[in-house]
Amino acid sequence: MIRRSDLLWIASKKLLVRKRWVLFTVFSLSLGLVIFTASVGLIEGIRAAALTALDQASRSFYADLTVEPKQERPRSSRPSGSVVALIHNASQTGQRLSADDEKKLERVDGVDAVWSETQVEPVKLGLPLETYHSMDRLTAAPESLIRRIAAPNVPWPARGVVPLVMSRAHLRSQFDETAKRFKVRPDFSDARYLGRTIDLWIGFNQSQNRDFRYDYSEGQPGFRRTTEKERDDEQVSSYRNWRSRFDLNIFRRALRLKAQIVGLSDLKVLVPLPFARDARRWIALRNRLAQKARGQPSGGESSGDAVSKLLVAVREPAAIPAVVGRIEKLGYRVHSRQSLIQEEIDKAATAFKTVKAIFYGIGLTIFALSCLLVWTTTSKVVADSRREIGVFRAVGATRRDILSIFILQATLLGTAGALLGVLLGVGLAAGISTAVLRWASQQRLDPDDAIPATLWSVDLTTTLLIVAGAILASVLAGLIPARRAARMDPVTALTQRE
Amino acid sequence: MTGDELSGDPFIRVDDVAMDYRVANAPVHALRRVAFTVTAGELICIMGPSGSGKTTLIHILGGLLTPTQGRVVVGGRDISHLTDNEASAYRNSTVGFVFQLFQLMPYYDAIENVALPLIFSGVPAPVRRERAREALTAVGLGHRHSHKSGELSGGEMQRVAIARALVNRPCLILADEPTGNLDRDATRTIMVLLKQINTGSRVTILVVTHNEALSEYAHRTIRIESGELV
Repeated sequence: MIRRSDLLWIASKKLLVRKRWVLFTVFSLSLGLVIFTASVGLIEGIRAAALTALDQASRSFYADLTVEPKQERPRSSRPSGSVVALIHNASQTGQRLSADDEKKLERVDGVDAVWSETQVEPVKLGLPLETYHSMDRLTAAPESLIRRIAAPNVPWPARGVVPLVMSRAHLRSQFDETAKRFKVRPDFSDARYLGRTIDLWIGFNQSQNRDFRYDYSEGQPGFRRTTEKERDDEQVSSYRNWRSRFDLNIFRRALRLKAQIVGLSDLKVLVPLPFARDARRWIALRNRLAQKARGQPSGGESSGDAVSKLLVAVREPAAIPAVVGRIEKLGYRVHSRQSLIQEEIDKAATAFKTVKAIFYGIGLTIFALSCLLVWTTTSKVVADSRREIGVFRAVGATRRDILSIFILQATLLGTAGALLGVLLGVGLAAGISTAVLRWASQQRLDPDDAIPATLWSVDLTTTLLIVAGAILASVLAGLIPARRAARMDPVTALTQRE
Repeated sequence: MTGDELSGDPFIRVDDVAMDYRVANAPVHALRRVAFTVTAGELICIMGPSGSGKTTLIHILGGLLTPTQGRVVVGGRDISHLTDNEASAYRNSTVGFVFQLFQLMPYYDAIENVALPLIFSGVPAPVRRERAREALTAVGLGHRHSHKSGELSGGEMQRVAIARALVNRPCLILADEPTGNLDRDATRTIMVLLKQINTGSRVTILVVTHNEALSEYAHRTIRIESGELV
C-alpha cells in the first residue's frame, strides 16, 4: 500500500516536469478566482462603505420628516433602483403641495413646524474659512428646530442678531502644505466657535474661497495655494462675469448683518425661517433693481408657493412613528430619516446585486474554462505518462494507486490555482481599495467627508467555499483522465514509444 | 517470498497455456498450448524470432497478462486468474522486470528509479533509500546513485534497471531483451551480472532474447516459434 507522502511525491514530481503546462493551468484557474475574490471582497467592502456614507449623510437631514403628495406608482415603471426608473417616475410626478397642505399638516397632533425647503444665496460668512467649498448658501429651518440644535450653554442672540447653526465641517478644515490636502484642524473644538458673533453678508456674490485651487493639469493632481496673480486674475474674471449680469455697483449693495453661532451641525448652515424669507425677498429686490439699472427687463416673480415636498419638525422625537401614521392617514407619503436611508440602502442593495451577479458570471465563465484546462492538462499528463504508468504497474502499482496519483495531480493544480487566485484576488482588492481611497482622499474637499478606512473585506466563509469549490471542480475535471490512466493496459503502456 | 526462501521443484509450471488476441477482428494466436517447467534457481533463455510469443509468455509469467487458456503456477501459486490487486501484489513481491528499453524515469535519479517498487509496497523512505543504495552497489553503481538516466550509458541504465528489479528481493526476474539495445561489452557485463545474481541469490531468471550467444550464460534454453515450443 503506497504511503500518502509518496503519493504526493510522485504526483508533484510529474507536475514539476510539465512546468509550463502546470503554470499555465494554475494561472488560468487562478484568473477566475482573482475576479471572484476581488469582486466579492470589493463589493462587500464598498457596500459597507456605502452604508457608512449613508449613515453619515443622514446626519445632514435637518428635518424630522419629509412629506410628499401620494402618488400611485405607474404600472409601466421599471424595477425600482434603476436610474431609468427614477427618471421615469420623476417625470410622472405632477402633483405639488400648496399652502393648504402646509396648514393641514401644521394641525396634525405632535407636529412642531411645517415648512418648505428654502435657501438663501449668495451669502458670505465672516469666518477664517480655509475650505475650498463655496460657503455661499444658508438653509432655512424653523426657529424651534434651531433652538433644539443650539448648544444649551450658548445664550440666544439679542434682537437684530441672526441666530445661526454653523456647519462644523467647514470649520474643521485646514490645508496641509506638505500633503497638499485638507485635514482636520488639530486645535479644533466646538467651544472655540460656539457663541461667536460673525459678519454675515447677504447677497455677497464673491463668497467662494479663492485661496486654494485644485490642479488637474500638473503631474500629481491635488490642492495647492493660489498665487497672488491667479487671485487677481480670478477677481478680474469674476468681476467681468458678474458685471455682464448685474449692475456695476451691486457688490456694494450686499446687506451686512451680524450673526451669532448658536450651534454646530453637519454640512448645512441653518438660519431661522422668517429671516431666510426676508433675506430672499431682499436679494430678489436687489437683483430686480440691478437689472433695471442695466436696462434689462426684470425677471418674473416666482411661480407661486406650490412645492413638491414639505419638511416637518416633530415636537418629541419619540413621537415620530405616531406622527408618520397620522400624516399618512391624511393621504400623504411620508419619509423619516430612517425610511429615506432605508430606501437608499435598498436601491444600493439592488445595484450591488446586479454588479455582483455580473462579476460572478464572468468569474464562473473563466472558472469553467479553467476546469476545462485542468481536464486538458491532466489528460495531457496522462497521455505523456503512458510508459510511466506501464512501469508503475509492472513494479506493483494497483489501479487505485494510478487513479490516486492522477487525481492528486488535479487536486494539486486546483489547490495551487485556488490559493494563488484567492491571494491575488485579495491583493488586487486591497490594491484597488488603496488606490481609490488615495485618489478619493486627494479629491475630497472636506476632511470630514466619509472616506472609509478600506473598501474591501474578506468573508472567511465565502473564501473557504471558493477555495473548496475550485479544488472540488479540479478533482472532478481530473477524474476522467485519471480513470483512463488507471484502466490503461500495462502491456500496451509499456510498449508505448515516446 | 524471497530468493533465499525458495525451495521445492519445479518453481514455475506452465500447463497448456494459450494466449489469443483479436487484432482488427482477426484472431491472433500468440501462444498455443505451451507447457514447461522451471526449477528454482535456474537461469533460462527463451529464444525465438520476433513475433514468436516470447514477450507474451514473459508478460503472462509476470502477471501482466492473463492467459486465455491453461494454468501458470509460480512458487506454488496459481497466477492465471489473479484479480488486479492480487496481480499487482504478485508483481511487487515476487517478480522483478528488466526491459529492453530500460524504462527508467528520466526525471528520477538512479536511487529514486531503483526505489520505485518499494514505494508501492509501502516501505518508509529512509529504509527505501538504504535498500536502493544496496541494490545499486550490488550492480556496481553505488557511486552513480544521484545521476539521472540521461547521464548514464546504456549499460549503466540497464544495470540501474536490474537494481530496480532486485530491490524488492524477488524470487523471479523476467528480462525481456535486456541486451537488445547494448553493444557487445555492455551485453557481456549485463549477462555476467545476471549470472552472478542467479548464482549468488539463487534467483530464478528468465531471459527473453534472440541473441544465440547469450545461451552460454543459461542453464538451458527454451525455444519458441509461432507461439509453440520447439
